[in-house]
Order: sequence, then C-alpha cells, then structure tokens
Amino acid sequence: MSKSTPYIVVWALMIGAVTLQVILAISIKSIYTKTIGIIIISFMETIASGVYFQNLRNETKYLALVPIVGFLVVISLIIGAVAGGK
Amino acid sequence: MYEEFSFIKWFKTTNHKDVGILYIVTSIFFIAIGGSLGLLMRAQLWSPMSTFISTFKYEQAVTMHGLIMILWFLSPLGTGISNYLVPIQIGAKDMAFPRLNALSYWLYLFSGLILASTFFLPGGAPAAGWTMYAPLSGIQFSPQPGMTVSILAVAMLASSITMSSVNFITTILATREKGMTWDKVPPFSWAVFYTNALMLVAFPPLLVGTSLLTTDRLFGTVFFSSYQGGSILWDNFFWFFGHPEVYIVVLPVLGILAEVIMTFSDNPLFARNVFLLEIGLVTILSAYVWVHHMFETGINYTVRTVFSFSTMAISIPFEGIVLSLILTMRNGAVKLKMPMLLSLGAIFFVTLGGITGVFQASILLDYAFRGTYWVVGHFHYVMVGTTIFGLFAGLYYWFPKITGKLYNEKYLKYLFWVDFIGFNVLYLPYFFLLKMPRRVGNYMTFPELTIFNRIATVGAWVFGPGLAISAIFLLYSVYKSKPSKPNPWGSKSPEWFRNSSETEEKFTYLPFIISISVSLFIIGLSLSIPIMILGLAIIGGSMVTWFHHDVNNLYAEFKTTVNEKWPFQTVSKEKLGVFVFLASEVVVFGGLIGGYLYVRIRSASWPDPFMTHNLSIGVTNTFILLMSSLTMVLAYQAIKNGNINGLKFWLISTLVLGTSFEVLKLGIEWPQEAAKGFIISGGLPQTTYYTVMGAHALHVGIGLAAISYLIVKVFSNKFSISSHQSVELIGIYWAFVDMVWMFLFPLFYLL
Repeated sequence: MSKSTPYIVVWALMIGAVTLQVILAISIKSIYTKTIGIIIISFMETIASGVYFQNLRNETKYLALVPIVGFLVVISLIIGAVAGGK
Repeated sequence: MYEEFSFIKWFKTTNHKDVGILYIVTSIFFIAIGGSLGLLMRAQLWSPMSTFISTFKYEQAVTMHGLIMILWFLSPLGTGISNYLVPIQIGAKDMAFPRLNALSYWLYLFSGLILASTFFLPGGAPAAGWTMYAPLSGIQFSPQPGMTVSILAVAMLASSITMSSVNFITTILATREKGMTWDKVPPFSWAVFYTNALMLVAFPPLLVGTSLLTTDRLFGTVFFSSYQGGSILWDNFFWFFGHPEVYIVVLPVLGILAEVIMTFSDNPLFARNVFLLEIGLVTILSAYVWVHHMFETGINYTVRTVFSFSTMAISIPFEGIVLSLILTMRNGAVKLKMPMLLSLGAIFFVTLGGITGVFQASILLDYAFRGTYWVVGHFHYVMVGTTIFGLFAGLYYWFPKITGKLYNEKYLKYLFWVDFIGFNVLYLPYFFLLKMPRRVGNYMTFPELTIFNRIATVGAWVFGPGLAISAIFLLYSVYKSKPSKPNPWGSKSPEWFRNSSETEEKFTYLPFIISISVSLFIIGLSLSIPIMILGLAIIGGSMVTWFHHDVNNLYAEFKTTVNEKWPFQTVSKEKLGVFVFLASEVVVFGGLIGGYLYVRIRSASWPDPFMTHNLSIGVTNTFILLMSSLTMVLAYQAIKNGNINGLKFWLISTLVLGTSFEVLKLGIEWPQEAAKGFIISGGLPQTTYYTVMGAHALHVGIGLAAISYLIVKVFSNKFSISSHQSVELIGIYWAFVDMVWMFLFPLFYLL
C-alpha cells in the first residue's frame, strides 16, 4: 500500500460524507432528525480528518486529541451560550 | 543582569529579558494613566453633588480606568515578570518564538496607545463602561469614533495576548532543559503555564465579541442590536472572557507568593503537589462560572443554579491554595523582608476579596449586591490589593536578579505600610456603601453616604501617591543602589543559580513595524480609508519581509537541544506551537458558531437555506476545499520522499484550488446573493452568514499566503528530504481550515 493511500481513502470518505449530508438535507423533512444526522456526520468527518494531521503514529498520540478536545470545548461553549440564552 | 543602555536596541530586541523589562515598564506607564483616572473619580465623589467633572467625563473616566487597569496594567505586568523569569527558571535559552514574543509586546503597547488616544478624538473616549455592554456600546448610543477605536484596541490586545499564550505554553512544554521534569518546575512557572492555558481559552471569545461589535458599528450587522442577539449575546462573549480574566491576573501572583514565602520562610512549599493541583482546578473551574455575572438577565433558574454551584465550588481549591501558602510559613525562619511583607499583604487581601466574592455566588444575594459598591470593593480587593501587592512582591523579590542591584529596604518598609493602610482606607468603606450605585458620579439622593465616600477618597490619595513613590523608588534603585550578591535572599529556586546572560541576542525591527502598521489599519478603519490602506500595505510589506528573512535564514532562531518535554518528546516546538495556536482558533470558531446558533435558536423563524443560498456553489466549494486538503497532504508526502517536483506540483495545485474557493465564494456567490437583496445588514440570517463565512474566507486567505510562501521557498531550493518542516506546519493549518468548513457548510447551506 502506498504511503498516500490513507489520505486518499480519507478524502474519498469525506466526499462521501458530504454527499450523504446533502442527500439527508434534501430528503428528510423533520428538522430535528436532519440536524442530528448532519451534525453527527460532521463530527465523524472531524475525527477522520485527524488523519490529515500527519505523523501521529510516529509522534505522541496526545496531539491527536487537540482537534477532538477542541471541539468538545466548542460544544460546551455552544451549549453554555444556548442554555444561557434560554 | 542589567546591561548597558542602548536606546535603539529596545526597538529591535527579541530577547525575553528585554521584552520582559519592556512589558514591566510599559505596564507601570499605563497604571499611571489608569490610576490618575481613579484619583479623579474619587475626587469627584468627595461630595454628593460634585461638579468637579461632568457626568459624561466621569463615565469616560470609569470606562478608561477599568479598561486600562485590567487589560493594560494587571495582566501585562504579570506577563513582563513571566517573560523575564520563566525561561530562566526552566532553563530555556529564550521564549520558544522570540520574534512572536516581541510582536506580542509591541501590539500590546500600541493597542494601549491607541486606546489612550481616544481622549483626543472627536466625541472623546468611550463612556460605555469597561464591560462595553451592548447595545450601549453600539453605534446608536455611542456614536463617537473613540468607541470604535477602543473596541478595536481591545481586539488588538486580545490578538497580542493569544500569541503570547501560544508562546508561553510552547516554551514551558517544549524547551525545558534536560532534568527540568514537571516535578522540578518551580511553582511560578507552573502558575504561568496555567495562566496562559486559561488565556488561550478566554481571550479568543473577547476577540470574537469585539470583532462582531465592530462589524455592527461599521458594516451594519445586527448581532447586538437585534432582540435575539442583543445584550445577552454580548454578556456571554464578554463574561466568558471577563471572569477567567480575574484568575488570569491572580494565578501568576499565587506563583510569586509561593516563591517568596518559600524563600523567606526557608521552607519547601507545603503540600506542593496539592497546591499545583488546586491551581489547575481553579483554572478549569474559572472557565465555567461566567453566567454568575448574568443572574439578573432572566436566564432560567436551572442554569443559574448550576453556575451558582460552580462559582461556590471554585472557592474550595482557592482556600486550599491560601492554606498551603500560610502553612509554608509554619516552623519556618520567617524573614520580614519587603517581598515577604507584600506577600503577606496580598494573602490578607485575597482572603477578604475571596470571602466577599462567595456571597455573590448566591443568586439571592447577587440581586442585593449587583450594581452596588459592595461588588466594587470585592473585586478591588482581589484585582488591586492581591494583584498589585503580589506582583510588586515579585518585582522586589527578583529585583536583584533583574538589575544586579539591591535596594535600600529601610524606606520601602514605611512605604509598604502607607500603601497597605491607604488601600484599606480606600476600599473597606465600599462594603458599607450598599446603597451607592456603581459608575455614577454623584449620590445626591444618599447624602448620608458622604462620610464613607470621603474616607475612601482620603485612602485613594494616600494609596495612589504611595504606590507611585514605590515605583519611582524602584526605578531610582536601578541606578543608585549598591550591587547585589548573586542570590541575596538565599533562595533555592533554580533561576538564582543560572547566569541569565547566557541567552542569545537576536534583533529585528519587524515586530515594531508590524505593530505600527496594525495601529494605522485600526485607526484608519475607524477614521480614514487612506490610512487604513496604508496600514494594510505596510502589514503586507512586513509579512513579505518576514517570509524573506525566513527563506534566506536572516533571522535564525535558536535551536532546541535535548530537552525535557514530556509528553511531547518527539514533537518540535514549531509543530507544538501550531497545535496550541489551533486550539485558540478552535475557540474563535467555537465562539462564532456558538453566536450563530444562539441567535438562530432564539429566532422564531429562519429562512430556508435552499431559498437563500446556491447549494450547487456550496457543494462545489466543499469538494474544492476537500480536494485542496488532499493535495496539501500529498505535497507533504512528496517532500518526505525527497520528490521536489512532486512538492511543486501539489503545492501549486493547492494554491489553485484554494484560490478557486475564494473566487467562487467572494467573487461569484456573494455578488449573486447581494443582487437578490441578501445583504449583510438585512437581518440576523444575513449578518451571521456573511460574518462567519467572511471569517473563514479570511483564514483561507491567510492559508493561501502561507502556501505562496512555501512555493517561493521550494523554487528557491530551500526544501530537502531532511528539511521541510514548514510544509507540514502549513499543511496542518490548511487541514484545520478545511475541518472548520465541514461544520460551516451544513450549518449554513443544509440546515
């Protein structure tokens, strides 16, 4: 397997995920189902794109946590902001 | 050690000790301005109906006093001391990124000068309070250009502080000398690490808030003038920064107190590990208490209860910290030298300030205290008493290290008592002024409060000049006092055993020039388009010069040797710095997306995205950006294999794809939408769309500039199989920009 293969696989998965998001957005009527489905796919894309943050296997695994922890912080910010505004 | 004075050197130095001294001197300059405004305010409050200064001028004084003291004095003084001491304490050659360190300083200085300049602009300085509450700070109620300039000055400072945080965190994580394991890192450096971690989370929301406030004022967006956004949205942005800011100024002080008390008690820090753990707990908890500033805004009861609990909870580790400091003195040979006296004063103030703060965690009591001088008294005990006494303890403690001189303590001890008594005479009466409204320059309906106000004013005129004399005495001591022994206090902390002159001297004017050009841009944005364009042009020229220096290795940063850097042993400081920077970027986009969701959820209706946006352009752009991420990573793969032609091909492909994204978005999609009447000032859907997308497009633009730099570098034959780190670093940034789009696309085009 070429060293570039994982990146190409991730790219193909991302393209597929975006396509799936568009299909969900067009075909599902319920705003809640649609929102949950699309956001879950976005998070899966985020984790998959962690592969783009290269060399993680050769370096410390902790760096891989940065985008994941970062987005957890963001989610807590968003929940805080939304709950705070209710 | 203090070196021969060279005026020019200070404009081009990047050495951490010089930058530290610049921070310290500049912050003392700003306390002179902020403190004078405080004295003016106290003079006005001498009598209930004083006409010493007008109501508007009083409001300006309140606003500028708060902004300058908190943002341009307290934090930066701590940053200055940290800049000087932390690299020496941990055995680093310098800060991880010396040029960035100098840039942070110059941005800080010029942002403060810009803020101070608003006094001389038409309409004068801002008068909306240091909290800049919207819509009071909006164009409708504060139309003067000074308000816009001030908001941008705060945004500039927030950028400076974010850069500084990235630098400190990377320095402490990646450049500690061999043997400086975490269990040996001195408490001050630990505290600085926590402080900067908190800054990294707290300041980006302030940057986002001030940026959105600026777009409201200049481009007609409606974030803070709409019902759905309004004042509560601003409150969330501001206090998410504002409350952690209290801890940002206090945490370095706790580190200083630990160092001073250990030295002057000749004892190790009591329960050191627990002490450090508690500072960590305070750091984490402090990011989850901001809503207690908004108890009266109609937020639902459950949310208020949660934040009431978290606010009370933070006092538990704080008590542990104070206890640890006190118990360090137990059975010790306590020497009441000047730093120790100041530290004891700070412990007294933090105890009183902390106790009076716990009352306000109670929702019920908060209703009684909110807006009164009780709150003013509480936070001045914490922010002024604790912080000024603590930071000055640090200055006196490390004075022999910084200057090589030892001051005369005899007169200073008198000054300590003048300041200590003056401070209490000034702020203790505030706890009895429960009827006194804040930020108001008269109290004619409460003439019985005159006596407390007069006592406080007398205290102010003792404390202020006393502090000024202390600062002047320190400056005088730099030149006139006798030489000090290398370790006059007999400290066991590592900085006293290192020759701090080992640090390499590196010089460049670029940080100074960039900061001037950013200042021109900001002033121009508010007042004059030609000045703004001039500023932008100089920024562009400076960045090109910066890249030119890098490509040709004209500014060679020091190389880290074998260091302690668990848990990042195999990661370079540059790569770690990029990841830390991206953490702050995550918070920036989190704030933007959070703001968007906030107003959207509060809106009764929202237009169907399929009606307002062109889905085919959105999808095309998504595919383009995804493709560009792949080409970028293939560029990196190519150079790792030593394939220079492959690197050239994939980098150019990435540039073409990224440019296509920008052209499609800014050149085709936006004009199409505007032609349909979907304009930025049209309402919240338009405001949020253009602002958040604009922020992302700006990041893509910065990424394209960086990729262009890589292309220049590859065509200059600067990359090889063993030297190509910048490809990886910029690749990481580009992947991040792509990742953000993965959230923006569904949020704006599909939902």
